[in-house]
Amino acid sequence: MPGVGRGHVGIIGGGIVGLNACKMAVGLSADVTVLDLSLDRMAYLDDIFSSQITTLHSTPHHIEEVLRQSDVLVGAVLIPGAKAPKLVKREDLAMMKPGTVIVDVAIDQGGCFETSKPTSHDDPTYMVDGIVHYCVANMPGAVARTSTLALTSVTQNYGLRIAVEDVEGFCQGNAELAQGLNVYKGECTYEAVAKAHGLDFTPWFEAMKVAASS
Amino acid sequence: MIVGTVKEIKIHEYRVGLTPASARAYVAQGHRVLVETGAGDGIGFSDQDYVDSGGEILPTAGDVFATADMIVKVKEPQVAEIAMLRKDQILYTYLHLAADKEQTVILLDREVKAIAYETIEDERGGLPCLRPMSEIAGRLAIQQGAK
Repeated sequence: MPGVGRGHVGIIGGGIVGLNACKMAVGLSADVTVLDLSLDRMAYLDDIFSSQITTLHSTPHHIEEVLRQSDVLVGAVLIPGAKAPKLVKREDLAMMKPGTVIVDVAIDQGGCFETSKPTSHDDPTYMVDGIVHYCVANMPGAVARTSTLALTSVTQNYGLRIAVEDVEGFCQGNAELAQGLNVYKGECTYEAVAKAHGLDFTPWFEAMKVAASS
Repeated sequence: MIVGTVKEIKIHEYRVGLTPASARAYVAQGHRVLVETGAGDGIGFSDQDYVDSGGEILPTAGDVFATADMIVKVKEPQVAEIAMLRKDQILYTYLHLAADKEQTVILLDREVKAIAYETIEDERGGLPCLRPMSEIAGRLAIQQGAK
């Protein structure tokens, strides 16, 4: 707005979530800062958005800098299949401007703010130490038709393969796709999940061998 | 294979695991598709749309769980759904088990074969089934934050 300072948007994580948050924030003419660990990813974001955003290496120092300046802070951190790291602790909230909004998109994987707990579309926000927390666990559910079409366009291809090859053939055909198998006949076949809960991990091919011979 | 989808029961969840277009794709390959009545109501897919695509409408989620070899959903199974899962049944949906020990233990106990959308990888190490929702969530994050 003319005569009004630009809002500051901080985005922790420059992956798919972070990039799309960038698109929207840049569209709103916000002052956008993105933190990421990967130099390649930062270079990519910088190439796309040029001077419209600032990229910073995701270090404790830079995270603090972004906490202090942000009006909206988006948690967009993902470690595939594993619990999200808690990058912002409760005591860190004191550095933030009162009334700042935290949106924790990582909430499905446990959240990347220590003070995050899952909320629903019915009652999406709550306050901790003067900071508004938005932690809806199924955010895309808000645009259900678009989300369904986007989701099924991808899941259908794999689903059709499972229907033809069964789970066993699907996994044996492709090791990357086999990463989708989390639980198989009583065995936990996804390492990050087993680790998160202190359960025994059995690689999918071992679990299938055992099941086939019993 | 018999493939089934049910109406999502998590609060304000109107997404659905199979669209009429997906039902048609499965039927075209010779599979049977079972759909709980009203599964797509929240987003404008009527029972008739599924029937027109070759799907069969069943009156309850229980009927779908009892017959289908593979259940295709969106969210992790809720308490009522977990009770209906059968041994060796394929569950194909978002699970997010790393943040949910209770669900993990229950699925192990039910002896199902559970494939989680969010951990399927492609050749480049990307997460193809998580990507579309990440794109949408990232965009919504700014909308929500700006409110």
